[in-house]
Amino acid sequence: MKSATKFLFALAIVPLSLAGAASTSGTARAGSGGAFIGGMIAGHVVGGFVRRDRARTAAAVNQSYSQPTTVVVQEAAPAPSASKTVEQRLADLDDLAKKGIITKDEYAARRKAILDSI
Amino acid sequence: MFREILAIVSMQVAAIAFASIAGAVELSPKYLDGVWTLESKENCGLKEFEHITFRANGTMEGSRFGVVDSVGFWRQSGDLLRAHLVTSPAHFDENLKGFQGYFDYFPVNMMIFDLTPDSFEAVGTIGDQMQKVTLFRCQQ
Repeated sequence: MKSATKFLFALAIVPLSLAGAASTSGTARAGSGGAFIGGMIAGHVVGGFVRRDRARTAAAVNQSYSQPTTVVVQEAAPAPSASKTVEQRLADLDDLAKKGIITKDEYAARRKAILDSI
Repeated sequence: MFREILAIVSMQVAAIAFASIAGAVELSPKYLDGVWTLESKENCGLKEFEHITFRANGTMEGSRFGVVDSVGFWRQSGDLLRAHLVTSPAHFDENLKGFQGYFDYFPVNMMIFDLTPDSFEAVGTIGDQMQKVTLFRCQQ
């Protein structure tokens, strides 16, 4: 093989070797001795487990994000001010004051607010 | 004078060319035919080192501890060798013992270079796995 070809091939080997380093390093050894074909097969199978495990984990994470959550939408209470006239709102305010539900200060403040909204 | 110099140079060139041709080792089924082991010729006698047998008829097998653990076919094209192996992963890693009795197919690509009569370098890949190894010929 020509030197230039070898160099280019070596360049390609480095990143691939790093990618595969998680499962194997150098000539794989099961016990003593060494295995070339066996090492690659073991690394490939174990690497497959790791990749599948990562994929499952990623899928589980995505699933948890995409899981439909129960959202309780409370119907908004109708805003009395929107549907009632100023007279009606003032009448309601008077009624609350007469019944002692609101204080004089609260009555004055709310009355001013109703009148300011005109 | 000029003719003498030309004759000497020509002889030297011819000698170099002949030596390189005579020493060249070409990758071929005939060359690969035999048993090979890893890292050192001395490992030929050590069964804990994988032994790979290439046969000129295109079949091959890997073995360790005297037990054949992978079998298949190989084809060579230039300095590339493609092997199709069947094996059980249980042979190769304690953590894979659960695969005992389960066999699968593994395509192996090898680039072979730096050949000598009794050794060669190989870079093999299976999927994303890549390993470089020096294989030494064992006496049959």
